[in-house]
Amino acid sequence: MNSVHASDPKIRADLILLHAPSVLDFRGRRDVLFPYVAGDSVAVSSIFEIYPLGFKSIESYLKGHGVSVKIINLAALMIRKWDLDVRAFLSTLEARAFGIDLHWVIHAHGSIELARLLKETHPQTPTLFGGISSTYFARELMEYPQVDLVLRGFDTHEPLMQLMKALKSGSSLEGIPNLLYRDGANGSTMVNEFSHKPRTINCDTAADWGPFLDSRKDENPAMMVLPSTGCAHNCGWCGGSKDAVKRIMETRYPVSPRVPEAITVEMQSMRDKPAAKRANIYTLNAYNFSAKALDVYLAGVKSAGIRDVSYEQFRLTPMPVLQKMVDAARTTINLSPESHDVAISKLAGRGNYSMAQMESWIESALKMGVYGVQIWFFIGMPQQTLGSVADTVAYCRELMQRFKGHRVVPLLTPMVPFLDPGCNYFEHPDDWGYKVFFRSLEDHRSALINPSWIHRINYETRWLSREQVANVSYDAIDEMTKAKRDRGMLPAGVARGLLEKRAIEKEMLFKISELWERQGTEAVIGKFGDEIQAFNDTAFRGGIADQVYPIPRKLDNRWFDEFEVA
Amino acid sequence: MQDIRPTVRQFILDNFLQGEDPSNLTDDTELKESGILDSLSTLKLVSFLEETYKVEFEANDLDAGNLASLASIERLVRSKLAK
Repeated sequence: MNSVHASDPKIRADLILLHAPSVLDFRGRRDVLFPYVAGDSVAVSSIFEIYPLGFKSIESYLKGHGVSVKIINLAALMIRKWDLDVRAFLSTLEARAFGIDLHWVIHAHGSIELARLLKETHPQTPTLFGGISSTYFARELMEYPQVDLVLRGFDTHEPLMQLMKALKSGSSLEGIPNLLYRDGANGSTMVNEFSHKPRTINCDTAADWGPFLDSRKDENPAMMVLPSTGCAHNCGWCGGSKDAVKRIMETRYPVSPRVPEAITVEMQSMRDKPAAKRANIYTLNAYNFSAKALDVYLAGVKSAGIRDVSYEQFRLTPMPVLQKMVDAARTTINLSPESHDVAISKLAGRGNYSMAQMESWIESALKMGVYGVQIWFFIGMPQQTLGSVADTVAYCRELMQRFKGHRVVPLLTPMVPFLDPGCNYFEHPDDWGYKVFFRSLEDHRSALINPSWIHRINYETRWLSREQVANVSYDAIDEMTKAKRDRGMLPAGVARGLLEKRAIEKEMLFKISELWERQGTEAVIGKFGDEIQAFNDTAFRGGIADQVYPIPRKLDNRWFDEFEVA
Repeated sequence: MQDIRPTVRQFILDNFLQGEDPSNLTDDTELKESGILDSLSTLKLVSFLEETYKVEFEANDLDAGNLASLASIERLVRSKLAK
């Protein structure tokens, strides 16, 4: 882990990669009620302090080619060190370039504001953007004066190395693929060919988990592994889905798998580390593993002695594959049918099994030794009505009853705040029954500081307005809480606390929303500023919770808590 | 009142350590660090404590330190019963 003391005069590297909070600055705000109703599958706060895994692969790749890199998770740092003077901190950085991720558009505000602060503190140092949303909005990003460079693409390792060499030597940027930059003479945006689109992701990009594991002396470290970039499947809301990747990356090939050797190298970095025996790995998009690559991954898991592994699964995992997973580590499977109604599930891009088939599969999986199964349902899907959401909750109740005493946990979350730009629902809203409120990057940047998250949502459906998405989300999640309490899955005192907090939050959210619609932000600040600030402070400073374990706690075991100021 | 520790111990053995050698679960076994008590098992254990001892735990009672071992769990339950 990078650890820097506040007294250190400078933090130096050729390239400093920074991850911004979704809104900068989020602390002490009286105009934005931050908490969304329900947590994600990963324990993060509502400023999304999880940076793209690509930072780690870029770090490995560039270091291997003689370019020094430091990662600064500014978002996580600001939560941990509440009184951090961001401008003063940024002024201690010294680099040839600053790289900022705008991978998901939830960071539209924070990343652009971070670039502005960097430009003010380091006017001579170029700011570089990358990620899915950066690629989608590349030209618009270049309209912000604080943005100097954008690298498009799902893999920017090689172009980034070329860029760093050019910045060092002062040579032309003309031939660097995927790059947008400003012409020195007239300041106009130059757009290089979008040609670097490798079919595979190679060994020299493998993340090195050794330093992270070495730094975790007592905690149970949480890591994340990806089998590929892109996706073979087509979830309608997802900017990383098959059609979205083809559209945004201008490619015929929606998946670029990591070569199995890269997975071997990455898993070897976990070997012989005492903390690996207490570690868990969340295997994101595990459904994109080829059979061979999965075997290589599982061999690596076993050899490193990893205790827990979670897998995202698109289909019901075949039993022989499941057996291999169970043999490798304590196994949790994440399913996401999105709705109990197969017709809606299909429209969401899933729907390849019925609930009866899923239940039968869960029985077999538990018998085989699968440690847990988490089943995710979504609010905001095509054709999903208020009644349909209520039916999903009723189904979850049945599921909990059937598997009472087992680690089978249904979870429900609204799709908020954004449909990803580039996804099918966003690009063809009429075909799917959606209305999209925000189109441009600036629309999204501005929306992120709307006082209530109802007005941050960038869509409504023919079946649910934004207000209904919010209202039914609170009601449905409350019902899930009660159901879990009644079945011994959630302590009664904890459930009571959650229900009380949510009731306050919901009432405040709708009051703020209604006032903002009539009188605007200043009126909201005047009437609710103190309450908003107090609520936010409690949410951010009281610890982080997720849906699986809705107990706020101080977290320092996550892989993206990469950087500390002591 | 005297049987908190053995009761909790038996619950953990029955629910989270089936097939394990009971002698491996001592009063000082690190329940969190060892992975015996992860998120879901913690919630299940606390629900059991609430029902068995007719007490209620709030989120801030469930600090990792209060659930670190059988000994600390017993202290937590006794502190609730004393209120």
